[in-house]
Amino acid sequence: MSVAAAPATPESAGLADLLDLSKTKFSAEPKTDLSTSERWMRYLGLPLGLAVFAAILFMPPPAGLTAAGQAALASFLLALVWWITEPVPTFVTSLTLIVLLVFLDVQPSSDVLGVLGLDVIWLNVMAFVLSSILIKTNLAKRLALSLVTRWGSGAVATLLAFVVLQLVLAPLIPATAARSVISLPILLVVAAVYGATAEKPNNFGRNLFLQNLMGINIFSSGFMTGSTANLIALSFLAGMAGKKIYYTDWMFANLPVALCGMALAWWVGPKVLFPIEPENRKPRIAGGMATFRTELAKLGPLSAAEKKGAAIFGVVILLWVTDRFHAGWFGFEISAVLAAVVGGILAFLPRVGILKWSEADIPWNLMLFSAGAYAGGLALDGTGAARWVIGKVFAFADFGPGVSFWPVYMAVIAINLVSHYFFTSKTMRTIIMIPFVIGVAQELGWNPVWLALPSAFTIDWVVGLPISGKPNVIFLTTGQYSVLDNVKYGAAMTVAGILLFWAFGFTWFRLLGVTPGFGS
Amino acid sequence: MGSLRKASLALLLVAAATGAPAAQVSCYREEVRLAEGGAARVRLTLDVTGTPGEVVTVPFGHAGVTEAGLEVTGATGARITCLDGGPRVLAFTLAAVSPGPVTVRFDAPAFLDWKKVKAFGNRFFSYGLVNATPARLGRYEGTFLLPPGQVVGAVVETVPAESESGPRRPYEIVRVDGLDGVRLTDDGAAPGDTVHATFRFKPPRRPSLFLLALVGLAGLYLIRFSDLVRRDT
Repeated sequence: MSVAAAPATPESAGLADLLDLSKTKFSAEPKTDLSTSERWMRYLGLPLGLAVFAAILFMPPPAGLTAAGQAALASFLLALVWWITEPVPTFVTSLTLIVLLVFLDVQPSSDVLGVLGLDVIWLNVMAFVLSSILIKTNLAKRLALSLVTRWGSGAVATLLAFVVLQLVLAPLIPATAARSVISLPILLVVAAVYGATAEKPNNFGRNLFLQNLMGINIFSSGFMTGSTANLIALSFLAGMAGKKIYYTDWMFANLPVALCGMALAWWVGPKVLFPIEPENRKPRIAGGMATFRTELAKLGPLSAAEKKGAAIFGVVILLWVTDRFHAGWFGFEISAVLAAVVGGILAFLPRVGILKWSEADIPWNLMLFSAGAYAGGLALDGTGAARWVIGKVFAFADFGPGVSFWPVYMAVIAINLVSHYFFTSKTMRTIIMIPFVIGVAQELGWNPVWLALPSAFTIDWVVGLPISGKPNVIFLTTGQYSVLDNVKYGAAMTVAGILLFWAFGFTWFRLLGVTPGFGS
Repeated sequence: MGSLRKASLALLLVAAATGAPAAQVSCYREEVRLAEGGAARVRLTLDVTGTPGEVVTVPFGHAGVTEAGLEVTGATGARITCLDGGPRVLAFTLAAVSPGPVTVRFDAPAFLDWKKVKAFGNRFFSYGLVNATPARLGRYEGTFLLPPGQVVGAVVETVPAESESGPRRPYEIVRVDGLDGVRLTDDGAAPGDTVHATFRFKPPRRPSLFLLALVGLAGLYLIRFSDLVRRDT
């Protein structure tokens, strides 16, 4: 999943060259310099994927699962193994998945191929158009240099600055994809400052992008309006269990979990998973911070192009931030995707705009990867395979009468957090999981809030796979990290999330009455 | 037979007009066991509350079935008719002593055109029931079972439809007595409402040639790409 070719490297070029991301090409060949373990994974990945595929496809049809669901599950797991081990480029795996879904009679070709028209793909395309605006006008460079000169004396401090940035953005801009698009160009420039390019990724880049991915998703869980899925979960609680939860209830209870989660993510990435190489712990520029200040000073006051770029981006952000007022203003709501399309139109308008088509580098290979991945995920949802897996897990857990609350709580939290590996849509996952959980609570005679609200708190922790959420798809297209890197960081944070929600369930949630109080 | 139909219709109209407490069907369970060839064995189980001797009319969704083939318990005088020329209904008189639910069994000889096979070897099961009676129907539960050796490919369409934001699916994939099928449920059907399910089904066979091809592909890859893990690479 590598994307290539920033021509400059910190060793060979000056800061100006390094920050000139207009020379970066995203649509390039995958990297070939593999470590021994990567080569073994690549070698064994293909037969392993085929073995998993055959094992599921040829097993006797399980009760409760359609033939299409069985084939969808087999195809998706084959693709998952191949995306992680990369025996073939990830977009080839996605294309294979698309073909399998049709050839195995999972879904008609019109449905499968139609995924390329989904909003997430459009948003991906527009994300690169909008990023191109900031890069071409030097706005991204200015923002990144300002950030680095103020916060970025070291890699870890820079990473922390972005954690804070995502925390600030989360309540302002509910759409996670929009936050990803805003962050993307700045992240690209800051990564370059620390020597991380698509051609030569390093651990700073891995941490930077993956941590922002975590930040965007996990901070969404801190606010009731952080995602549509949160609101749907609450509507289930209101509709099925008659419990109303307020904005502040949600925030007081779960923002601390999100903060602890991100503190852990900030620590576990650079300290455990991807230790930053000593040479990348400081900006790799001769002259140190003074060079950045000089370069920032050289940019001078905002140029006309920058102002124009800022205005276009400002229009898009304004539309994102004010989405709840659109119906009143315009009579309809402008979605995050269409707001980005409006920005794209302005950017390409002759004389008014600032971009030519050739200046918007859109990595189509990765769009195809995203489309295939989404097709697989949607097939799991549409055929009922994801629901079947979740049902099997709950059946396996077998919460019989007389069972005490805490083992059930622990199991439900773990199932909820792990379940995100089987879904591409938080909404779909919410629709399936939350009623299940409310049903379990009601069957056992407990207040549904005790299980369902903590479950709802976990919905936004979609960190495990590049297809688990829109930010994940968008950031993977930078080529700064691989699918395997995402899987490692995501698995670590999923485990961390389980432990955190257990710990908060026993303590903080009890204090607030989210789980059975200390007196009960 | 014609006078019997007229009498039952008249009874119904009289009951509606006088506001007398008409019989209520609290649950309409229907099991369709499809056989190879396209015939089906159908069992209706109806939870009815009413007074003995009362005429009850319930929706009936099976074409080509005659009264002669009906095996009824818990009621007498079962007949298939059309109210005002609309869809078919089943009318019966509640037995003097009601021992439990009313059950009706019958064969539907041409339930499905077995010869009609679509791409991927799929056949389509399609069944709908219109509540053509003036009374509200309680819970509906239709279980549609396939012949042995057939599995549900995918559910194409249901009424009630699956909601994108609702917590429950109106259908589930079931296995009853080793037979795969679909169970469609609806909380209630007002007069004029429809329940409907269309799903495709086929034998679960996967060609063993395909499995051999997968094994061959894996083997070929391991041989041709062994340079990936050679020490000198």
